[in-house]
Amino acid sequence: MTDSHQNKQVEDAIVTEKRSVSKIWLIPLITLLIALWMTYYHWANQGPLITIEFDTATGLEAGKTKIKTRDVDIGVVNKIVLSDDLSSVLVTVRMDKDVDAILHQDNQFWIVSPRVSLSGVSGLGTILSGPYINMAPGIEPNLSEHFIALNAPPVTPAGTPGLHVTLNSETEFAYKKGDPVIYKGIKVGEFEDINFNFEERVVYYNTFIQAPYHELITTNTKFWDISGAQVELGASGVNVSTGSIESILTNGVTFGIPEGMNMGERVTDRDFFDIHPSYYAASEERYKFSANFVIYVKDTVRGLQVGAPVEYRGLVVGKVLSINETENQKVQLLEQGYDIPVTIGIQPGRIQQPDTTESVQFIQKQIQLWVEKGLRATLKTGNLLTGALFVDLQHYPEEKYIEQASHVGLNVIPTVTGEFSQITEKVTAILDNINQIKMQNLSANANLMLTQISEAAKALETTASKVDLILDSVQEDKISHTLATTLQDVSSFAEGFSEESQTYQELNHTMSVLQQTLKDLQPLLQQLNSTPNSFIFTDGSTHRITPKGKTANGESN
Amino acid sequence: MKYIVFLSFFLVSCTSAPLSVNHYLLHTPTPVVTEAHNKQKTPIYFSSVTLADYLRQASLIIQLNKHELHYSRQDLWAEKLEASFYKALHQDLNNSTQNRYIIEPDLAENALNLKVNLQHFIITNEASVISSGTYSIKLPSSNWLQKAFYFTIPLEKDGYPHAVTQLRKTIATLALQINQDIQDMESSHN
Repeated sequence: MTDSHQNKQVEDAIVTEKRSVSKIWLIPLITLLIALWMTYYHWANQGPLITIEFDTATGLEAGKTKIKTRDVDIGVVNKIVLSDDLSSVLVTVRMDKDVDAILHQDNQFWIVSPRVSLSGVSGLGTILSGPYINMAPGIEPNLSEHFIALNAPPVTPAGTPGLHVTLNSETEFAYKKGDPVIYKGIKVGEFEDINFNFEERVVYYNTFIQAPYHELITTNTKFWDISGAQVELGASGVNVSTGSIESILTNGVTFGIPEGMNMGERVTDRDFFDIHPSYYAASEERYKFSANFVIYVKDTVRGLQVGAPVEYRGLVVGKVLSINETENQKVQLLEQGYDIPVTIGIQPGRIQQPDTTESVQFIQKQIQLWVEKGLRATLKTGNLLTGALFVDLQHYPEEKYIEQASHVGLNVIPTVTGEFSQITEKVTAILDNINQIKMQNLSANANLMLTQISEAAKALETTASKVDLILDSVQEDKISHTLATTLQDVSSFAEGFSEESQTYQELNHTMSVLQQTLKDLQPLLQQLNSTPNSFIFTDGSTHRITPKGKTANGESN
Repeated sequence: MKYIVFLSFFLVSCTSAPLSVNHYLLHTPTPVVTEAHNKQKTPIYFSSVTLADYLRQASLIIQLNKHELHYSRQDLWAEKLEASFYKALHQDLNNSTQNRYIIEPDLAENALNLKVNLQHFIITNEASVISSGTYSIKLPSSNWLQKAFYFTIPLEKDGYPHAVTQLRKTIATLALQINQDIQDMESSHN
């Protein structure tokens, strides 16, 4: 109690007003700070915002559709808007922070969705998850934030090791993107895209050959078509060849170096190659140089094709390069007696000469010399079924000397008429002669002659029948007279031998006498037969067998 | 000298006695049947007599045993046995009955036909003669009827003439049998 009293005596507390901030404000402050930190953190960690331009935005959803590379999420679609001209869709994508370094200018973007084609099936995983945007990193050093997406997945991602080549074809091959390039049955590349050059009217196919097969491509490499199955009917039967299973369903090309050609130099940069219809056609292109000549065909060139062989005494020495390929051909074609120029090339490589320009010059000189001595060209039938022609070079020493001519800078090899043309000329001449015959007069004369012959035949028939009657009557009279005479003779002859005739009686008597004589001789003959010596000596046998009668007691003697 | 000996042998041989040959005939001369008498008889056409092969020769045959025969060289038939047998049988047939046996084929139409096949006509070594064979008779409206005959007659004397006489008797016996058969056939047919 004492202590409490004492404390009351302590002076009263001085109350002073003191201004202070409530601690409750710390909460929003901290919240604000956290928000600021989060904002900063978000701003500081978000990636770049890029824009990708698509033709369509099939299946894309803002805030949901992801962008991936190598199946790793690297961003999300932020916004999808149409372009100002409504020709495309602009998709804004927020990329992750660490991918800004790979936003190369040549990056490729495309929408991955389920795809089914002859080349295969892809994107089945997106049936449940929905489509996403895939990115193929490029190799360009420059970075970019605006990209144009591909309509379909790229055949060859940028940076894939290999070789890009451009194939071209003047024929109507129908390759499409993704068609395979086959080498000995292995798929080693694909067609990437197709360009049509309107000026050249040639289709160019950008093709990629994968490593390590790109090392097979050399300057002498030839490409040829192996689409579907190739059926070749030859002397040994039907030969069917195909590429891979894929190339049977789709189209495809293969490549190689024709037999007899050297390897050539390896191609390291994009180069251009022709697509040939077949290996045979490709191998025909293994010679680069050729000495070109022109031959004038006076008759038809039907059956002669570009690429047809040029043969010298049966050996292929070149091919036909062009037919009637000259300027102002329409004007010349209308001229009477127009000779169709056919350009042929004699390839040095085919006649055991180096494939060089020097060999071409050598051939030019040699052919010129031979032409002066009678070398002539002619069109001959190579295949009777198809009527295909080829150019045959032969020596005709009897041909007149012809001075060397030229056509559009090319030397001319004189021609002689083809074998078919010769036959045609002869047949035509025969037909002309037949036409010149006055068939009407001939037919009238022939009719008159036939009528006269018919009348003569009738008269002859009448005469013959009369002669037959006369002959028959004469013959019947003669034969009947002869028969009667003969029968009379036979009858008189038979009467001479009849039973009442004297001849018969005499013959019968003679035969009887002869029979009696033989009967008289019979004992003598029997004696001689049993004992031949009895003719001289008496018969030794004294016993004569005679019949014996019965005795009185009933017994034989 | 040797020539003389050879000549003497030759002459001796020529003086050897020749064989004496006897000929025999079966049929004998008979009176000619008058035409009027013949017209009253039934005509029968006696066509032929055929012989066994071993009988077609001139010798008379003696059967020495069951399978051995002896052909006599000195006793021969004066006529072919076939003809002689035919004439003898024809003679006996005509003399024995009221039938008239004809031999002309022209008269054989609508008449009975007769033919004989002689198998044995021999003398045995057991004092007998044998005559056997078959004969066939055909009425105008019936088929051929064939019958066999076998006659044996003992020899009373030796020698061939008696044997021929006994053989001739077998022919007469055959004629009687044939006539009897024909009468039986005609009676059964009527």
